[in-house]
Amino acid sequence: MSDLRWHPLLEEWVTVAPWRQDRTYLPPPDHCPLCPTRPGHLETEIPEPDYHIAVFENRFPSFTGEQGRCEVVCYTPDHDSSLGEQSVEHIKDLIEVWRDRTEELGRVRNVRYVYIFENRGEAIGVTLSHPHGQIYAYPFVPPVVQHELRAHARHRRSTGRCIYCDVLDGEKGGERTVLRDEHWIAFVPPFARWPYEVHIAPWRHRAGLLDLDGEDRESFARILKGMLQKYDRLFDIPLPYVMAMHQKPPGRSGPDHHFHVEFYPPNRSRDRLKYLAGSELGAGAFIVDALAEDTAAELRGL
Amino acid sequence: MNFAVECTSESAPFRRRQPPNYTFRSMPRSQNANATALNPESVRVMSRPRRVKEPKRLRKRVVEKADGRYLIYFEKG
Repeated sequence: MSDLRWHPLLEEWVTVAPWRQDRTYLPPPDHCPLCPTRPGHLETEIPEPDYHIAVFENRFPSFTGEQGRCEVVCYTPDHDSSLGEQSVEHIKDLIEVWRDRTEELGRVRNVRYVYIFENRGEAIGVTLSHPHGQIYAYPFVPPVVQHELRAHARHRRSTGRCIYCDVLDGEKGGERTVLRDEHWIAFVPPFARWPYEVHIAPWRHRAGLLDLDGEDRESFARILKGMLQKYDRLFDIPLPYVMAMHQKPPGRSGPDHHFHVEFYPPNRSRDRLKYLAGSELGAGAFIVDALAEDTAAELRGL
Repeated sequence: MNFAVECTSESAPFRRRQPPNYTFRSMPRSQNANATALNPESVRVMSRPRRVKEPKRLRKRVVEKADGRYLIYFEKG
């Protein structure tokens, strides 16, 4: 079990999991633990010779047992593929998997938040290159989500409206739009903290994955694929990113969250990365050297 | 409410002649209460979808690994 330590100044939990130091680190492709097991080869995490989508408990979890869960979501058996290269139909299957895990993990005792994310690229610190995402079922609501929930609640108290719906109202002009259809939008928010940060969100108020109807899911899959393809065309490289899904905590009633997916690519150009340094890490204040309107236009044109 | 206009300083010279019209995003925490929309808009009607049980696209098969961890195969139905 991890050691959860309370940071009294920031008022947040720090999870100490020393055994993760020994986790598998950039194995060669023929030793990838997320590939299906090939006949005559060592067994991987997935013993069968093929799969569609597979989910398993992380071998080096930050949370397990009474503390929560950590899962690995293998998007595809194809080692050299990516999320953006999957068909819309396959991404719709993945959305079903994310919904299933949200529902099931949300019912686990002590779980207070189900967080779906993907780290892509060595620049982000990825240790396995096989296309996969992760799910953390935390025993607490993580700080960023806490901030969002507080902002939602304050805004609703003072205006009666959802704060993210209001953010989306500001995007109707299209200046920062990257992709949109009747149901979803991908845009660079005016308050982006990374040069090519993008949010994708449903226009209609949806608190989480479990609230998406069939039309929402179809559109989500198309916009997600379209956005990821644009990212890879941006510098003609598989663009590293963090993909973070923000949804309401499980079991919480009320409309005070608006489901959205945030992307943080670290690149500010093909060869240059934005590092979190003194201002961002030491003071929590992001400095961005790009205008959201410019990066949105660049991404829109790809 | 247009957060972008409120959050950016693109028209800074023009704005300087007017009282600042900050939003909560650019306000110190202690002044959050003052940072709401100046012109309240009509309350948005929230359409909360009913959760309808829909047919699943995938079949779910759970197996236990030798070390006790679970593995779930999501397969085409």
